[in-house]
Amino acid sequence: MRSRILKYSRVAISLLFLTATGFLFLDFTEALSAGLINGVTWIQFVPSLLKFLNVLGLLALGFLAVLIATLLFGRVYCSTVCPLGILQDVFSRVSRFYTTRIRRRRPRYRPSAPQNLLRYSLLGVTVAAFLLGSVFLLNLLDPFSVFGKIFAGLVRPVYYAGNNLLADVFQSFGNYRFYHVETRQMTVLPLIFPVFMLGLVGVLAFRRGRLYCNTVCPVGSLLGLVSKYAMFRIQIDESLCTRCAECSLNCKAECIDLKSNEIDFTRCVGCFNCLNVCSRQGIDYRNHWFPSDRKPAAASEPFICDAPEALPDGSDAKMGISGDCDVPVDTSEQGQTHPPGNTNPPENPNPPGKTHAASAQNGERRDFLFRLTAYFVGFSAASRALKSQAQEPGPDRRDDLDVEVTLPSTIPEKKNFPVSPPGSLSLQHFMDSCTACQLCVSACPTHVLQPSFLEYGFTGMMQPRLDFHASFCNFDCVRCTDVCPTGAILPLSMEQKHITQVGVVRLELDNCVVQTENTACGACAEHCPTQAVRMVPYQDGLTIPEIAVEHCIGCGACEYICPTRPYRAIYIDGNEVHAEAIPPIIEELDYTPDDDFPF
Amino acid sequence: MKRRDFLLKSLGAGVFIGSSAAFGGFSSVLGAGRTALPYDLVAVRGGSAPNMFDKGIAALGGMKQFVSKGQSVIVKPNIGWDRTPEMGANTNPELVGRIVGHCLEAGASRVYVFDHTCDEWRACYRNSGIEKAASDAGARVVPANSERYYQDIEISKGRRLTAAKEHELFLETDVLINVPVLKHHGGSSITVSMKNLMGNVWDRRFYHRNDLHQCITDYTTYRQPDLNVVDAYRVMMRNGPRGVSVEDVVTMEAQVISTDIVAADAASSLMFGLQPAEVGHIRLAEEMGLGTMQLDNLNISRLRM
Repeated sequence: MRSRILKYSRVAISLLFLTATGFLFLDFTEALSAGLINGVTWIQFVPSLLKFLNVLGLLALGFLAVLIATLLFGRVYCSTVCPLGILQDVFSRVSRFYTTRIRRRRPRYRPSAPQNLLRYSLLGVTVAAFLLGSVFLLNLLDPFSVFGKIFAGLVRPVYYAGNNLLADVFQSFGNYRFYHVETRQMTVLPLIFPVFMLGLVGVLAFRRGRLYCNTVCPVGSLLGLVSKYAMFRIQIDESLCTRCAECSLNCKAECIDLKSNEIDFTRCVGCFNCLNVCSRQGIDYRNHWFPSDRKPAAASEPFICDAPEALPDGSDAKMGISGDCDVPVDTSEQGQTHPPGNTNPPENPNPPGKTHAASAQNGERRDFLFRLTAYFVGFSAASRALKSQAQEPGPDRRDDLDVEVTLPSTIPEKKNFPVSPPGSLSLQHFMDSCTACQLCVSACPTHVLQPSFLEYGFTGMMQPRLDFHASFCNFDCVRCTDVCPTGAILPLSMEQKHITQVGVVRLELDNCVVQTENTACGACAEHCPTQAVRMVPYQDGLTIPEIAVEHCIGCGACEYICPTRPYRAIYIDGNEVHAEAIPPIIEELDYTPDDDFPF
Repeated sequence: MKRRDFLLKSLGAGVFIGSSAAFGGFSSVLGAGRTALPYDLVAVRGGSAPNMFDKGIAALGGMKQFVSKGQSVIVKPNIGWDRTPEMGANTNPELVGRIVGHCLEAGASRVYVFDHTCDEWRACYRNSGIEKAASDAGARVVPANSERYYQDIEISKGRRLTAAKEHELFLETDVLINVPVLKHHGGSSITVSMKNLMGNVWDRRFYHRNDLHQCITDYTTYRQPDLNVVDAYRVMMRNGPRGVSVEDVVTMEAQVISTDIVAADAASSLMFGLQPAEVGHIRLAEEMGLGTMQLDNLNISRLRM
C-alpha cells in the first residue's frame, strides 16, 4: 500500500480530532450535546478503558477499537486521535518552520536508540499502580488527561479572555451579542502541573519530535508493544532505497535507522511522513500478514544490518516471507552486489554514530529524570508549606463580595472532607477512577467544579471538587455526570440528582448576621432548593436559619451566598460516601381563593 | 448619548483602554407634556396576566403615558431562578412579552430585558421562558452576569447602602418599567417591587450583610421606576423566593400597577395577606418619604376582567 493519501488523511483526521477535542475543553456555551462529547471521548484509550471497567459498559469499548486498529495498522491512534500527540505535531511543525524560515537550515531528526528502560519502566509502574487501585500515574501520564489539563487549565483562560475582549468591544458599541464569562473562580495553584507538562511536552516536541510519546507516555509504550505485530508495517525496500536518508531525517519518532536499515515499529506513530518524502518508493507501508504477490522480491526482502556497504541483492536473498524488520538477517558476511537503485548513494547520509547519540540521549534522560524529580520534590515542599498556610484565612480572589466586612465572623469552619461531584458515589470511587482530565470542569455551567489542589491529597491533584467559594451546584443540572469519560462520575437522572447528597450542611449561628447584628438576611434559605435550610421566627420580627440535614443535598448554594467573612455561618462538609437525601416534604397549602380587593 | 470613562477591561493583559462616551440617565418622564394620570394605583383581578395588563394600562391612559417615541426602555422582570413559569419564582413570561409589545407600540426605540440572576443566568433566562417571550416580542434580552456590566453609583440619601454598582444600561436608558412577581421571601417576608430592584445591583451580599431591609430602601432612594407592574397571577405563598414545588403556588390572578413603588408594594402585601407595616422595607420606605402605604388616601381603580 503506498499512497500520498495516507499522510493527507492522517493530517485531516488529526486536525479534526484536535479541533473537536480542544473545543470540548474550551466551550462555555454548552454548544455541544453530551452525546457529541461522548462520541469524541469514546475512542480515547485510557478514559474508555476506565469507563469500561467502571460501568462494565459494552458501549465503552473504544479502547478495544484502538487496540484492534493498532494491531492492524500500527500506532495510527497516536497520530490521528490522541490530542496530546497531535499537539506535539503542531509544536514540531512550528519547530520546522522556525528552522527552515528563520534559521535557514535543513530540518532534521536524528535516528536514536529507544529509551526502553525508561519507557517500559514507566509503563510497568503505571500498570502496576493501576492494578493496585491507583490512577495517580494515569492522572499524571494519560495523554488525554494531560491534554485536558493543559487545555482546560491554560488555554481556556486565554479563550475566555479573548471572548471577554470581544464582548467588551461589542459592548462599547451597545451590542450585547457576546457575553462575558466569569474567570474569577479559576485558581492558579492547581495549574503548576499543566504548566510543567506543557513545558516538557513542548520542549521535547520542539527539539525531538515524538520523544515524549516514545519515552514517557504509557499508552504509547503499550500500543508500541502491540504494533510490533501489526498487519501493516512500514518497511524499507532495499531494492529501491537510495539511502538518501530523507525518511530518517523526517521521522518524528526518530525510529528509522539507516545504518541497519531497521525501522523500530514500536516507536513509529504512523504519521506517514516518510512515505511522502521518499522520492522512489524505497520505504513502504506493507501488509506483513498477507504479503502482496505483486512484488514478491521486495516483500520478502530481509533487512541488512550494520555495514552500509553490504547491501543484500534483492534477487537471491530469499528468506521466506519473514519481511519482519524486527528480525534482521545478518548478510554482511556474504559478498553482495549493489542493487540497481543504490548505485548513487548520497555523499553524506550522515547517520549519527551510535555511541555519540547514546551519550547525548543519556544526558537528556538524566536531565529529564532530574527535572521530574526536582518537580515532585519542589511540588511536595510547596504544597506542604501552602497547606500549613491554608489554615490562615486570607482574602479570596474568587469571592465576588467586593465590600469590606465591618464585623468579621469568629468561628472557623470545620470541614472534614472535600465535596466530590454528584454521581461519583464516594470519595474512594472518585479518587480511584478520575484521571483529572478536566472535562467536567470545562463543562460545568456554574463553574462550581474546580480542579483541586491538595483537598484530595497529593495523589488526587487536580481531581475536580465542588468549590462553593467559586459557585454552587445548579439543582436542575446533571452536565458533569453526562460528560465524564472515565466513569468516575456516573450518569444521574434529574430525579436521582435531586436526592443525591454529596455533602451536608453545617450551621454556625454565632457567625450569622441575624444573631450578630440583629438584621434580616435569609440568603441561605433563599437559595436552598430543598428547604434543608429554612427561616424560623427569631426576635424583633426577624427570622433566623434552621437546618434539616436529611433534606440537604450539599449543593452549596447556602455557603456560596452566605455574606459573613472570613468564616461563613453556613457551609457544606463533604460526604465520604454519597447518601440519599429525603425529598422535601410537600404539604398541601391551606388557601381559600378570594377575588376581592383587600384595600 | 454619551458615556463617560467607559473602561474596556482586558482580563488577560489587564489593559485598560479609556474611551469617551457618556451617559444621560433617566429623564423624568412624568414631567412636561403629559397629562396627569387618572389613578394613583390600578388593581386588576380575574384574567390572564397579559390581558389584565392590557386592561390596567388602558385605565391609566395607555403606555404612551410612560414611553414617548424614540425613548429607550428597560423592562426589569424577576428572572432570579432556574425555574419554570408554573413555579411562580419568576415574573410571568407572557406578561413581560406583552409589556415589551406595549412599549414598542408606544414608539420605544429599544427595549432591554435583563436581571442579575441568583441561579446560573443562562438557565434562568431559558427556563423562565422570559428570554423567548421577550425577544419574540421584540426586546433585546441582554446579559447581566458579570461585574463588567456594572458601573459605580453613589446613593447620597442611603443610610447603609451609600455606594453600589449598577448595570450600565440603567445609566443610559430613558424609562424603567419594574415588573416584579409577588411571592413569599424567607429573608424579607415578601418580595415585590422594591426588592426586585436588587437585581439591578451587582453585590447582593452587601445587602444581606448590612441590614437587608435598609439596603433595599436605600437603593429605592436612588432609583424610582417610572412604572411598577406587580405580577400576582401565580403567587408563591411559602418556601420563597425559590420554592420547592408547585404546591407552594396559588393562582391569584391579580395585578397591581402604580407609579408609587411603596403603594404598589403595600397593595401587594395586603393581597398576600400581610399588613404593609409588617414588611420592614415598606415601612422604612414610607418613613423615608419614598411613597405611601396609606392606600385609603389614594385614588385607586379596582378592575375585574
